[in-house]
Amino acid sequence: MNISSIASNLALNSKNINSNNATAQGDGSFETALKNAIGEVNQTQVDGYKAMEGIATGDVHNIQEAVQKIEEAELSLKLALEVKNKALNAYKEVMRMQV
Amino acid sequence: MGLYDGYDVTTSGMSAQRTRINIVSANIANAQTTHGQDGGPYKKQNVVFEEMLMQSQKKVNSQTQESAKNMPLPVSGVGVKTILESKDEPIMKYEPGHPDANDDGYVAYPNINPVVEMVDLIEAMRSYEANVSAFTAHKDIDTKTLDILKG
Repeated sequence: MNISSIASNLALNSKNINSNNATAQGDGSFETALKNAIGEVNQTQVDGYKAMEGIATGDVHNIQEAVQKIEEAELSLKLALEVKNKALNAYKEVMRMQV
Repeated sequence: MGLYDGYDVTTSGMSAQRTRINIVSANIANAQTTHGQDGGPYKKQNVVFEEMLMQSQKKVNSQTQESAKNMPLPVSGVGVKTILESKDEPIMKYEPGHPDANDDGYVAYPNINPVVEMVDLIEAMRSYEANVSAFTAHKDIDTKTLDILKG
């Protein structure tokens, strides 16, 4: 059985993290990723509201598709909310850290 | 496979069954109609379904046609291929006073059995309900998955 040193793995990991950070800062990929994600969530919200409006005004002939749009909007918003909560919790965890 | 493909599939099923319910309703409503669009008796209509690739997968398939062999079988929804008119012979009834009666005094009634139409309607309704159940199942598993993040 081949047991490898944990130190080398750690070193490798930290190197990876550092290199990731470098690229992230370099082209702002995290920022664009976040922006795209929020834009998509917003788009589903807009679609959902359009569907609701359509039902209310009687424009919608296809109620099942309207319901699908609304459900998609709700689920993507929930997912975005959970991701946000996770990120905030991580930040709080770091802030609570004993130095 | 996208996050919302399952919803697309079940919604396509709902749309298809809704079309079927509409057509069956038209058949029931026109079961006694002796004067159709072409002057003859109303003809019973039948819905023909077809397999339909979902929009998101059409895109993926066209982009990576070379690696299509390695892709898992695509999830396909259902679409309405066409609506066929039945070729059944009309039922002739002797009603000389009727405005649509022919020279011999016979009126052509559509060959529609209301009982058969009713069974078709029930089947379409149950099928719609099954699709709604599938939709709810998708929603439930997604909500449950999101609950993991709450912990």
